[in-house]
Amino acid sequence: MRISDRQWFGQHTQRIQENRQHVARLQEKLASGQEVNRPSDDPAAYSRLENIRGHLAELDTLDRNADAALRKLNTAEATMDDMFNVMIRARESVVSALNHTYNASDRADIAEEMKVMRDHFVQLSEVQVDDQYIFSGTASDAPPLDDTGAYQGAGAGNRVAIGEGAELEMAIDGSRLFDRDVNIVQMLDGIIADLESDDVDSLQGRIGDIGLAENQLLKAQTDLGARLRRVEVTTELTEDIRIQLSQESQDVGDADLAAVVSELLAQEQSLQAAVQVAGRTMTPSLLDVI
Amino acid sequence: MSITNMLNIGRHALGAYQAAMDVASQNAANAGVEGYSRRRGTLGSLGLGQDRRVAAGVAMSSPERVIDQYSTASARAAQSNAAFNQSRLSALQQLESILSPQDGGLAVRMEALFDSLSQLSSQPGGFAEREAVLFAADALANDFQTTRGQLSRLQDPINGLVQTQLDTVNDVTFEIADLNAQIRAAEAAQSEASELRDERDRLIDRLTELTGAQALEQDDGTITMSLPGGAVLVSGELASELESREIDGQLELVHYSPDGAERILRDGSSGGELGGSLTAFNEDVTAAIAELDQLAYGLATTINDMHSQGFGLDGATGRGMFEALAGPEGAAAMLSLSGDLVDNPDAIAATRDPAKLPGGSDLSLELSELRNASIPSLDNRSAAATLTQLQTAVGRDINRATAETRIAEGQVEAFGNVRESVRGVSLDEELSDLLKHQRGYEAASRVVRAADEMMQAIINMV
Repeated sequence: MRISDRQWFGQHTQRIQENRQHVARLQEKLASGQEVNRPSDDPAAYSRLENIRGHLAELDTLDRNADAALRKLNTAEATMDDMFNVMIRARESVVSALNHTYNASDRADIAEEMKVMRDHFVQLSEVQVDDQYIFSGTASDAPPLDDTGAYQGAGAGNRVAIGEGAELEMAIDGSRLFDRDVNIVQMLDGIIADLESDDVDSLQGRIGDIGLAENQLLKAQTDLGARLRRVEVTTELTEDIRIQLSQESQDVGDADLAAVVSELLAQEQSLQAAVQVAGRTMTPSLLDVI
Repeated sequence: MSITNMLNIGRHALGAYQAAMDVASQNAANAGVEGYSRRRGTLGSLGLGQDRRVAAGVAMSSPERVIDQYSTASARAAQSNAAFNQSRLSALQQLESILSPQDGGLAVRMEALFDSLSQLSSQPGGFAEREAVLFAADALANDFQTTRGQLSRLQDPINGLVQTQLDTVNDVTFEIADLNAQIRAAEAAQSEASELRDERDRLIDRLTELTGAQALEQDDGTITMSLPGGAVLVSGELASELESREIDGQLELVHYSPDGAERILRDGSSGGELGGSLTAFNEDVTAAIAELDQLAYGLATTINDMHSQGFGLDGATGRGMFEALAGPEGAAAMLSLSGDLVDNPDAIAATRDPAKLPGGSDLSLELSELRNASIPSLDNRSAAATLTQLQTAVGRDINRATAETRIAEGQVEAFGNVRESVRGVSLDEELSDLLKHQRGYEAASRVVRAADEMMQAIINMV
């Protein structure tokens, strides 16, 4: 084949151009550390990476929800512990009030003490997390108990996603806590009335009621504990999924730096070779000898 | 045989070798000129008398261009193909950066909305959570509008590019027609009009690259140029004109024949840069806009349908999250937060049961589950999957166009090489020709001198 001068020079520039384009692509990969910087780099991988990114963002939200659930349930559990302690103190007070050596005035003193306990219990029932009454069920904008101690809250209905396919009921139905077998506040009111009227016989019967109230609180606490464990287990699962996804995202999307660097070196060498060949072969010409 | 004849031979030879050296010099001088075809003349022996029995020396034929028709046509076709894909590619790349911005764009805004709804479930009565939903919904609507706006604006520069391309096309067709006339006139009188033909070849190269038009040489030396769809751009000394016109959102070519007749050319009637720009405008960008509109429409109406079944903190119901949309067309451009919700976070509905206010979260949970749910009006894909599909479809188009560009460029190089190999100047070749003809010239001058000496000898004999 006849080689014309224009063709000769054109081919050299073309080779060097192609080489430089390749080097530029490799440099972008090195700079970003990403194999896939835009959909056209690898449509299938981009689609998978977008999927993973969205999935990871979803897991973040689920974790935040799980944290919010933990905050609320932990507060509820601690509050229920305090409520249980109120019951124990109430039982002690009633037992001591039943002592035959106590007279009416002693019982009136204990009644004052019981009033403080009752108020403390009501106060505990009105505990709030993020400005919401946690023992009012879904009617979280009002305290769970009215002045008479009757439950005025609502039932369940605040389901929240806390993990992959895991939903948790966050609302605590206060009726199961305060008024299931026995209405605790009304019971305390009854005890106060008994103490004030010095009705030892009626007071005697209250011991059994306190036992019922304690059981009622324990049951509610057990139910809460089960929910807490569920949140913890779900959070761990979420963490497992997150690790898997991050791993996959790295496998699919991160540039293999060693491979890119060695490819870059190879490309640089061939660029150098192209330039040298051009320099060497362009000089010999008849012009030099005639 | 006479000494005079010998002198004549010498004289012819001097002229012939000088002409040959002229050709070599001209070739060497133009070695670097783009589009120059080397000239070649042939030296042939001359004879005198009836059957050329008497030797009369040598003569140079008038120089002609050395070209290869086949590789020329192939290189032009490849060039037009490469130009088509390149020009489409540059539009596709802009499309890609609009649809897949580095900050994540729409994908991230959609996730943010679902995140805020999911967090609303854990605190359905919370003011901050409600504000967050409003903010996310508003940001999503804005981003749809922005993206849609960028896509529409992408059509403007493409349209502008088409105008520029058409201006060049009309100039070039006119010049080719003009050269056709000049070449016909010049060649009727004498030999090949090489310079004019080189000039015309350059213009044909340009026109093919711009429009994918094909050149066909006629017997009278003129060139007919016609578009791939068959419309004639140049015939003899007459040139047609092209214009673009927007018809129903599509950019169509309008062809004006020399007699003024108007014809609208349909899609695919042009190739090259122009065809690439038209494809980008009429197919790529238009399709992306339609799909974005469909996504906005499908997502917003699905959310609205569900949201309107719920009750806000104020106890009211039947309100959408976004302003109602009439249909998919232009949906992304019109998407906005419902007026009922603006500055009114209480209007967000988290529950379907007014008895469960404010703590019920059944609806916000369902809404947040839309994140991965298949939406019927989006071909039963989720919103995120629809968006990714749109992004990767553009990515795939880019890959295809890149691959085709690369193939076409390979062909341009291969055919271009053959073409240059035939028509290009090799300085070494011209230099050795120059030396060869110089020797011939020297030899011819010896012939003249020898004849002169013979003549002297005869005169001295007298």
